[in-house]
Amino acid sequence: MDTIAIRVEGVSRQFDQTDGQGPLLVLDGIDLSVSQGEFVSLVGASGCGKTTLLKMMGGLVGCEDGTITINGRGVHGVPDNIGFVFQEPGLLPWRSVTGNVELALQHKRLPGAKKQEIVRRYLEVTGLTDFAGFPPYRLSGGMQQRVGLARALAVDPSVLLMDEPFGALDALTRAALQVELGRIVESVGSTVVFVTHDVDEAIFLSDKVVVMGTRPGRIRAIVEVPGKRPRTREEFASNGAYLELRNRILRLIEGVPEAAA
Amino acid sequence: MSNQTATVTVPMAQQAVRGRRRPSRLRRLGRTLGIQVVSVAVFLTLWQWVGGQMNPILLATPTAVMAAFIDLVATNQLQAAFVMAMADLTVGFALAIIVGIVVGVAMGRSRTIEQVLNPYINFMQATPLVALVPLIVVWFGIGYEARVAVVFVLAVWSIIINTSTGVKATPKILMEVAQTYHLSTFDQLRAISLPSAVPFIFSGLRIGLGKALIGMVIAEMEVSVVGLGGLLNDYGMEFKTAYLLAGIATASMVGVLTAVGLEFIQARFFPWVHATSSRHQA
Repeated sequence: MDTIAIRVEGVSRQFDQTDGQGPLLVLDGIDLSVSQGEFVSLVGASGCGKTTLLKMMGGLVGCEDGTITINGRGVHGVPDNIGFVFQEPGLLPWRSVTGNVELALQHKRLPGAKKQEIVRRYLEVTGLTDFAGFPPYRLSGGMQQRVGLARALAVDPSVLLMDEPFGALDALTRAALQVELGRIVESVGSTVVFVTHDVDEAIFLSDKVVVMGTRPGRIRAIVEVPGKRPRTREEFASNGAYLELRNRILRLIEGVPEAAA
Repeated sequence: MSNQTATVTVPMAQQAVRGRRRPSRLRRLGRTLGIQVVSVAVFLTLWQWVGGQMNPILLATPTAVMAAFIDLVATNQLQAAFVMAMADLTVGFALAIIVGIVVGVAMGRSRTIEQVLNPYINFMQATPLVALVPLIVVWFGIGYEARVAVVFVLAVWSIIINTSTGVKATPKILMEVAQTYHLSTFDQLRAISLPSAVPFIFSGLRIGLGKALIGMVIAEMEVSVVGLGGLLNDYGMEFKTAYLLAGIATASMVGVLTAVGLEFIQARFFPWVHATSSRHQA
């Protein structure tokens, strides 16, 4: 019925340790599928391998055990048409906001006017039109992350991978950007995998929350979030179901078995 | 006078923001400048007095140096020496910049090239390069080419090393961005690694410029007796100390002017270096 956008099958990953203690198993037997247009969050304590899993989907970390496919094609290296938003903005200080967004289109063989039009469109979507000519270091942290998002959207990604993009922001900016991200994703309709350790953020934004355990990283549970996206702050605050869900996910992260809850 | 120049350079916005603190900042700046002016005045007076008591061959007085300077300008000797010195310096240093950046980038990008070249670079870094001057004369003769070669050989190594360090220090996040958006190797270099190395390259240029100035003076004394180095050499031989000191002051001015030029180029074309240096990456 649903088309699968991302399929992760039996993925494990170990990292060599420098002190000669043998390899450390970071991810162990991950199976996960994400449908087209779905918004899925990965949550878990630090060190559960959620960022590693995301980078494997994005082809930035090699996948040695198991397979990952995006839109039916195996991931070897960075797939086409994915956008990646990093934890740090990762902007080039020597380019303007416009220039930074253009970077995403640099490898594409498109006429210059077409590129400019795309850049302009996504600067508008992310509310950056008035800052187009600014260098990134003149912008606040929240604005910088918007540039990172505009850059990711510029490739018209079928899959948008986001690695704790709001992790370093203050609470107010963060809340505002969450609402805006919900709206933007709704309008562009791409599939999103979103890594965070903020459970409220995960519930507010997602259709599905994947709870991961630590050492080795395994999926503890996949929790469906009721209600349609994009949600509003008001309904999120007033609906008790979300609070219940939050407590359940927090218990899962702590490792309390579901039956005991 | 210097006090006034300082007020003018404080940007308007900064003045507005720091309005309340402005008087104390200005006073501190004024104090610093005042102390420095007094220091120089006391030094010159002492020098004038001590110089007056001594044999003028050992130490010329500031007024005598000034008179010598005016004479050198009036007879066109200083201008000719200055032009020649700049010709040696700029051509040798420009070649060092080009070769230094190209080799540095190659070393920064390729582990193999780095391993191949490292022994030579380290060897040259350890060698007191002035020792190579006679060899350069054997190879290039005693003309312009040889002087340019001396400047080049002294300056190039710091530029190579700093450029390669800078290219290797490209932040990992930017390399991941390059990978995510499928930049070609060339675009990765042009759009990311090279600009990200600019602060390092400029440190290399600053160090290299200092060495290039040494090379210029050495070459003009040892390779062919011309230019500023030649002027110093000649007046030294003749024990005309006032003229010698005027020449030394001119050589210092060349150093100051070129260093200021370098800072100007960085501020004008790479304004983000200064803006991001405290936070490093945006």
